[in-house]
Amino acid sequence: MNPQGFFDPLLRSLEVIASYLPRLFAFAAILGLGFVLARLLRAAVAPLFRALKLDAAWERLGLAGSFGGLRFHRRPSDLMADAVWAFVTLSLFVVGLDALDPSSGGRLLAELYAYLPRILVAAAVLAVGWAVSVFAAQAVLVSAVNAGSRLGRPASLVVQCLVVAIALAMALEQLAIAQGIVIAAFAVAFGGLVLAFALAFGLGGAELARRTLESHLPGPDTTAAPPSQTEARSDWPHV
Amino acid sequence: MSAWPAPPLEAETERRLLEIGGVDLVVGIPSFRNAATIGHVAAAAHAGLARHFPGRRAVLINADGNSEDGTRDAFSAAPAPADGANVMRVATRYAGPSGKGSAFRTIFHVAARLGATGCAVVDADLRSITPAWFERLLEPVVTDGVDFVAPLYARHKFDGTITNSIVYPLTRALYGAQVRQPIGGDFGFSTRLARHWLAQDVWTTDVARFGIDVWMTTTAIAGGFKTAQAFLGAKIHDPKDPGQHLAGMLVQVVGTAFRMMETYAPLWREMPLPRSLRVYGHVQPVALDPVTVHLDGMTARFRLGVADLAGIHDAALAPETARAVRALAAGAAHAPPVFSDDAWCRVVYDFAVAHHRRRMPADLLLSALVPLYLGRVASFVARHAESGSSEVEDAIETLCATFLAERGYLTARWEETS
Repeated sequence: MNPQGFFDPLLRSLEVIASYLPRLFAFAAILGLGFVLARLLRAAVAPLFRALKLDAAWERLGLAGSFGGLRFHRRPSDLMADAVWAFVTLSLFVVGLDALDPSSGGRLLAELYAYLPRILVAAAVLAVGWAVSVFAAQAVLVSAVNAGSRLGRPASLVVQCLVVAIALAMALEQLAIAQGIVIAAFAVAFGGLVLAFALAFGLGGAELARRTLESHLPGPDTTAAPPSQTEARSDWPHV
Repeated sequence: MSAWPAPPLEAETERRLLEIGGVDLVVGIPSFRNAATIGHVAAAAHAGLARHFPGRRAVLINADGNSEDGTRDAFSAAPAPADGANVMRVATRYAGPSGKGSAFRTIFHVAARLGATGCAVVDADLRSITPAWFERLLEPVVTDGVDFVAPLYARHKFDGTITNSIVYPLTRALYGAQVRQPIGGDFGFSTRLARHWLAQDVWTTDVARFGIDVWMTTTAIAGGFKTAQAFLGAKIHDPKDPGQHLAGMLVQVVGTAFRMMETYAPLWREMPLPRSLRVYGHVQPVALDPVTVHLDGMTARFRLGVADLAGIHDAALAPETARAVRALAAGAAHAPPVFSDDAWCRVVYDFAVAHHRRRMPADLLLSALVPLYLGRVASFVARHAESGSSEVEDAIETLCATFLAERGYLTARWEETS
């Protein structure tokens, strides 16, 4: 047995590992630097946003403590500072990954930054969609209750689910995740729902549909004889 | 050039106003699809001005919302008394958001532009109006320098429930003045006050719709203008279908009242002392139409509202108030709730605070008040089914006393949010 045949591969493996060590150290150093830098920036940015009256503006918009039914226990200035911390940490993490593979030429960071706007837009779409869904559900519920209908709760749930589904589809489309599948699934589901509703209303509620249209379209003679002063009113005026 | 943003007028109206020049009195009638009734109102107004103010030049103006039923023609064709030459008629279309407030704005502008001393506005669907109404509304302004004359009607004990349950107790407790009909709809006022109203930036809000009456009354009494009341007798007009109009009316009227609380917070937080107002005209009993009230329907909608809107009510009401409301709804299935004055007062004040906090859209918040209001009305009607008018009036005054006594509660909760 040739001892050289045993040690040579071992030495070559150690050489490969040794050649990566500097890059590993660089990665760790970049991560450490990023961690410290991110914390410093978070500490600096939060007071800056407070000085710009971001928290006060949020309160004046009536969003303090909740947004679309979601309860927030942290101030907007702190949330923005957290966003800065996350951004800096993530950026330096990707820079560190680039350091592990110099042949990438900084491509990873460039791709991350190119994708970032999509992430932000998708997050905004989801946030706005959620708030709109809560508002729409509450509006449907209150209208149904004031009309004396017991269908308020199921109707509001359906409305909320529809709006959230639309927002989710828009967010996924924005993130370019399975775009074809999302669009097709949404179109089929939404189209089917609308068709089902039209059939139910037109066929199952034909009489109701006819009465609804008649009540909203002007008839041939809208001049009514004024009621007598002694005629008892069927209900009372509120004001 | 006027000191307020002038609403646009039709070219024919501009020409007529230039032709008229100046007048002593203006009476305005806002309208929309009131062809069946406006003739009677216009005839009464013309006769009232001719009979009670014979030596004074006057304009009778109809501010219409582009009715397609011939309302303006009916106004112009209404009979004029033989001695009514001192009164000129102008029929015009108002500009701005559709609603009574936009019509009033046009009337205020015309009154200020023509330099009138006194003005009055009356509803176009009044069936009980007489020429004497105009003496009662205008004489205090012309003779005694009163700036604002609110109406005082003889009403059925269950008539005007938004007024009796919310607006009257609220405005009386907050601003002190005992204006019994703050949203009556028929008012007299000075041009000085009209100019003050015109200068406010409210004409694209709910003030332009159902909120105009409570806004006019609140700005007059909170703004320190000399205020009085005039007894006009019975108010009989075209009934509105409450099922169709209630939520919208309540949102706009109560919403405007709550917005006024924001504007005048420094005033009412000082807790002004209550003061009664002079009443012009002799208050006397009047025969009134019977009114039918459907208790079962109101009770059912109250229970449905408390059950389905629990999330919104919990966000709007203080925890003790929310618990009290839920306890009321837990009673026997078809029996009206027993909504005490204390509980109702706290509901109204909690909603005012929630409106001030702006944690949810105002229309949504106020729409959620409707079922609770119906529960209160059902409770009141059930309790006073056999009561006479004076007993019911005493009960309303007791409610006002409760609103007055709970002002400290309102102030404390309001200041928590400031």
